[in-house]
Amino acid sequence: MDKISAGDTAWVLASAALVMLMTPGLGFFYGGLVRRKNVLSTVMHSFFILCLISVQWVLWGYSLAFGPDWKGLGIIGDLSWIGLNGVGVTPNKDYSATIPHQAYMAFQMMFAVITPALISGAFAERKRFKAFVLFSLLWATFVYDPLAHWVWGHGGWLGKLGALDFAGGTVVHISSGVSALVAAWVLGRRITHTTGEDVEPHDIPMVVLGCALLWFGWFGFNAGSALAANGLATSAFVNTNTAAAMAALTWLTISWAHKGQPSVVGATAGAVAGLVAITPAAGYVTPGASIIIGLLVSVVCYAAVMLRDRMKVDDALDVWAVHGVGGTVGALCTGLFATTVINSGAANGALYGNPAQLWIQTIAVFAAWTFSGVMTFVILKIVNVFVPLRVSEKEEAMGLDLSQHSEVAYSPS
Amino acid sequence: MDVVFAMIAFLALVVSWFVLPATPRAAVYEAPAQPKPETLAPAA
Repeated sequence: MDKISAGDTAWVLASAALVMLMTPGLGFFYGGLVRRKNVLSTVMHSFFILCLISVQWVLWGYSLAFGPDWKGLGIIGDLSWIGLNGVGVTPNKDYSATIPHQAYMAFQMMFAVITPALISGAFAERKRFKAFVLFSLLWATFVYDPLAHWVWGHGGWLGKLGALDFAGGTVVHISSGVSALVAAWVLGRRITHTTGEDVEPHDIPMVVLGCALLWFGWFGFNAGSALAANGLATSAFVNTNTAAAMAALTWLTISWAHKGQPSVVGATAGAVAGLVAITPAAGYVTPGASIIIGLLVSVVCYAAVMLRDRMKVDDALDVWAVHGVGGTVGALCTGLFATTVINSGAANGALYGNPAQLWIQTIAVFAAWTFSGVMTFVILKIVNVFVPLRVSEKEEAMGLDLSQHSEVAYSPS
Repeated sequence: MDVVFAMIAFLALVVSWFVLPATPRAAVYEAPAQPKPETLAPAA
C-alpha cells in the first residue's frame, strides 16, 4: 500500500477549502456588479450551486469524471464509483499516490462546483430560478463531467494526447466562458436595452471583496493542483499571484488610457483575467512567463469585452470575455511557455523546442469550445421545454430578488 | 443500499422544486412613502 503523506494531505484538504471559498466569493463579485434589485438572486446562484453540485458530485459526478474509463473510449468514466463506492481513504495511484482518494475527490468537487457558477454571470438579472436549477444540474452532468474526464480522468483522450491543463484552463474556464456566451445569446438581452435603464454595478466594494476572495482561493485552485506540498506547488503559487497582479495592472492601464480614469472594477476584472489565464499554465511556466501571460491576457480580454459589446450579446458580467477568452489565452500560452525545468513530468512548449505542444493545446481548446458550446445550446433548449428560461418582463422589471425569492437585499426602511 | 436511498432523496428534492409554488410577496416589500417636502430639513 502507498504511504499517505501528512503534508500532502493537509495541503490538498486546505486547498479544497480554499477553492470552496471561491464560489461564495464569486457570488460577492457578481453580486456587486448587478443592480441592487438582483443582488440576492445573483449571490444565490453561486451559493445554491455549491450545495447542488456537492451532492451531485458525490452521487454520480465524480464517477463520470474520474471513474474507470467507459469502454476505453476516453470519453467518460463509468458508474462504478457511484455514491463514492470504492472511493476510500487509501490513495489511488492513478491520481495521487500520497493522499487519500477521498481527499482528491473533495478537491475536485470544488472545481465542479465553481464551474457552472461562473456561467451564472452571463444570464444574471433575467434567468428564472427553476430553469437555472435544471440547467446547472444537466450542465454539470453532461458538460463538466465528460470534459473533466477528457483532460484529467485516467484514460481521457485529451490527457492521453498530451494536453497540458494544470488547474482547469480548458475544463473550467473555456467550458464556462463559452457556455456563458451561448446562454446569453439563447436567453436574449435584458429589457434594459429597450427601457434604457442604467445597469452600472450597485456595490463596487462588494466587487473588490469578491475579487479578493477569488484571488485568495485561487492559491488552492492552482497550487493545490500540484497535489503535494512541494516545490511545484510553490511555483504554481508564485505564478498565480504574479500573473494576477500583472494582469490587474495592465487592465487598469488600458482602461485608464481608453476611458480617462483608473477604474476600480477594471482592476478587479484584470486580476480575475490574470488568474484565469495562469490556471492552465501555473505548474509549467516560469515566473517571467507568468508576467507575460498576465500582460497578454488583459490586452486580449479587454478587446474581447469591446467585441462582445459590438456583437450585441448580453453576457451581463462578461464571463465569455474573461473566462472563455482568458482560458484560451492561458491554454495556448501553456503550449508556448511550458518548460520541464519547472515541471519535469510534463513537456516543453514551443519556445523550448517543442512546437507540437502548441498544436496539442490548440486541439484541446477547439474541443472544449465546440463541445461546451454545442452541449450548452442543446441543454438550454431542452430546459426551455419544461421551464421557461427567462422570467417575464414584469418580473424582470421588478427584479429577481423579489420575483424569484421574495426577499430584498437592502431593507427600504 | 444507502446510495440508493441517497439518490432517491436527492432526486425527490430536485423534483419538488418544480412542483412547489412560486408566489412572490412583492407587496411586503413595497417602497415606503416618500416624505413630504415640508418635512425635509432645509438645505444649509
